[in-house]
Amino acid sequence: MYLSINLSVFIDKVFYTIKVKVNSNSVNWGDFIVFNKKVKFFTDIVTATLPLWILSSYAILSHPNHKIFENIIHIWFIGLTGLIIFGPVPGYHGYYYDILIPLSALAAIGLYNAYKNIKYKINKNRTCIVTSLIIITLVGLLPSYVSLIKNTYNPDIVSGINDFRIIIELSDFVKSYTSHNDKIFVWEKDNPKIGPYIYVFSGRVPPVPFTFLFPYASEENLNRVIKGLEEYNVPYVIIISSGKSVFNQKILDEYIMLHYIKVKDFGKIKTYKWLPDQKVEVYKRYTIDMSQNILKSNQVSLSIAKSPNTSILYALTSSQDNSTEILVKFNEPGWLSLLYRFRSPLDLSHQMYVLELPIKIYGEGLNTNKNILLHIDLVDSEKHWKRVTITFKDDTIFVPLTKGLFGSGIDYQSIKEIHIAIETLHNDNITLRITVKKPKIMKISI
Amino acid sequence: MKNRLKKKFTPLLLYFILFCLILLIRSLYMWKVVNLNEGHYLTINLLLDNGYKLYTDIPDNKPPLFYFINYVFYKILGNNVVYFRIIMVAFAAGTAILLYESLRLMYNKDVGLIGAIIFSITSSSPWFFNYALQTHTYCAFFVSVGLYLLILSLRDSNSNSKKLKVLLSGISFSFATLTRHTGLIVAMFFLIFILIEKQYELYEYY
Repeated sequence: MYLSINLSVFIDKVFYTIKVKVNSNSVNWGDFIVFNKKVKFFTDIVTATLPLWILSSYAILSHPNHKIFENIIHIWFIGLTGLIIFGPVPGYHGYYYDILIPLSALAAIGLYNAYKNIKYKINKNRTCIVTSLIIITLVGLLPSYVSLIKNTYNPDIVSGINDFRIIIELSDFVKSYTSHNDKIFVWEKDNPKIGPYIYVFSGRVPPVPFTFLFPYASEENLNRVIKGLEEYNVPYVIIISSGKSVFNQKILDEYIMLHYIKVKDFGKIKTYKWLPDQKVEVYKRYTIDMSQNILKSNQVSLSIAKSPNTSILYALTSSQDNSTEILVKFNEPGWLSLLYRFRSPLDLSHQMYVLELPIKIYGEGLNTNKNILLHIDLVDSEKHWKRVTITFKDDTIFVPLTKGLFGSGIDYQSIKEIHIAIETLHNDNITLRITVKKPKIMKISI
Repeated sequence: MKNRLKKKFTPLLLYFILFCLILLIRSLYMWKVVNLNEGHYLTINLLLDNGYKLYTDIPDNKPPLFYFINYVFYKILGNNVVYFRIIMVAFAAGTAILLYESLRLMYNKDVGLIGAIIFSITSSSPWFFNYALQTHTYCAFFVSVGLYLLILSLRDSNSNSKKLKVLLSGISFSFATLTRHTGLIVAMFFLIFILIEKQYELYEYY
């Protein structure tokens, strides 16, 4: 059973009266206000504050000739309670706070009157009033504390976290890989709760002024987000999801999967890094030049990833021969990877293809042939992959993309990505200059 | 002199005790992630700092004074979750002390103290989420200021200062409405107060 109340329209109307136009981020709250939830909410709050209600009633009944003050707080109390319980808001305990002042006042009067009446009957001292006060309020609030303890030991199903540690760790990670002017996007797919905290702790803002996105956000708003991601070249997208969302968010999902690559998981929170297929921030001697393009192609997009202790000093693309020069420093054995993602899957099952990868690596006093490995992975659309590892040759590499070389286990009809990883086995700090030209995949007719 | 000092410092001491009491209760769960609202409001501070306009760019529906107060605290203290939670404690303690003063004037010290303690404990229930940044806390504070001034005005025999207190009380109630929509209900409360106060004049008029 649903209550058909459209809160967003209600809010728009309220603000229309003061001549402020509000762009509502919600679609239709009415569908999400379940009657049962309201009943549960009502039961919860009444149970939590039942002793106060009883004392308030006692205060009202014990004063047949009400004072003005009491009359007013009665009206306030009843009016506001009615508004909260029957008004156009979903069941939410926080709203009950609004009547705490009159409720506390009435409860205090009730308790005092009760004490006075009891005092004549049984001769007790003042500690009686304090003891009963503490017992009554704590008994009333007991269910809320029990629910708190239950939540602490059963972490939230959606986010998998109930304290700030993971959020702070994630925010530090985002902070260390972005500049102050960068924007990030946090998408909490199921039930927004912790997402905005990541903005707060990292100090980065979203590309559109939505602090969160409702799971049932309209297509218009999803498109606004996509436009924002494109406009600001948002380097990191953080996705929090249980994977059980019933809402259709396909447009944004597809956009992120196409343009971002997963880099790190923090519990159930996944971090995605931008695949720089159009423009990228080029780090050249620690200065950022937004005008440089790393690789431009309609068929393929490139992204660069690295192991944690590896630093990319700069990555620069020459517009003349479309080659990318990367200066990379390995502080210990590590890797640098280049991911080529095809816009439409490649069918390798009928034709024979050869990957031509013009790659040069320079390093002072380095025997590249022995200490550098080149891993080439073929990844199909189901994310299954097969790897071939070769010792690096300082020259153009030709690798036949055949089942004979890579082996079975992947779908050769839908190859989506080629992943090239350069791995160094050196224990010392080394700096390499890697020049990669645009790879070619050539069809060979037999 | 001693009495005057006692009169001045008792509310301050009581405020400090109530502040500690609220902080003590809330410290059980104060360091946990709460609901969506707190992060949302704090992110709005960042967005405002980045030049986005409230209501036109940022789709939110709380009254403007709430964001203004948050923004002022953000500018002074930074966007720190813990600071904002302590600010909430300070406001809740402020509300409790004003409730004490109001009830003391209307009834006696005992009723005032009981009311303040009940408010301190119940307002710290984790169910109300008000240990984190919420509109309710500011709203309740302004309501309690208005209530206190209104009760003071009831006891004032000087018509000029009475008018001033009623006016200040009205301003405080309007601040409550400007921090939270449900503060509007206080307008009704205020109207009823004026009608009751002026009932004899109205009776004579008609």
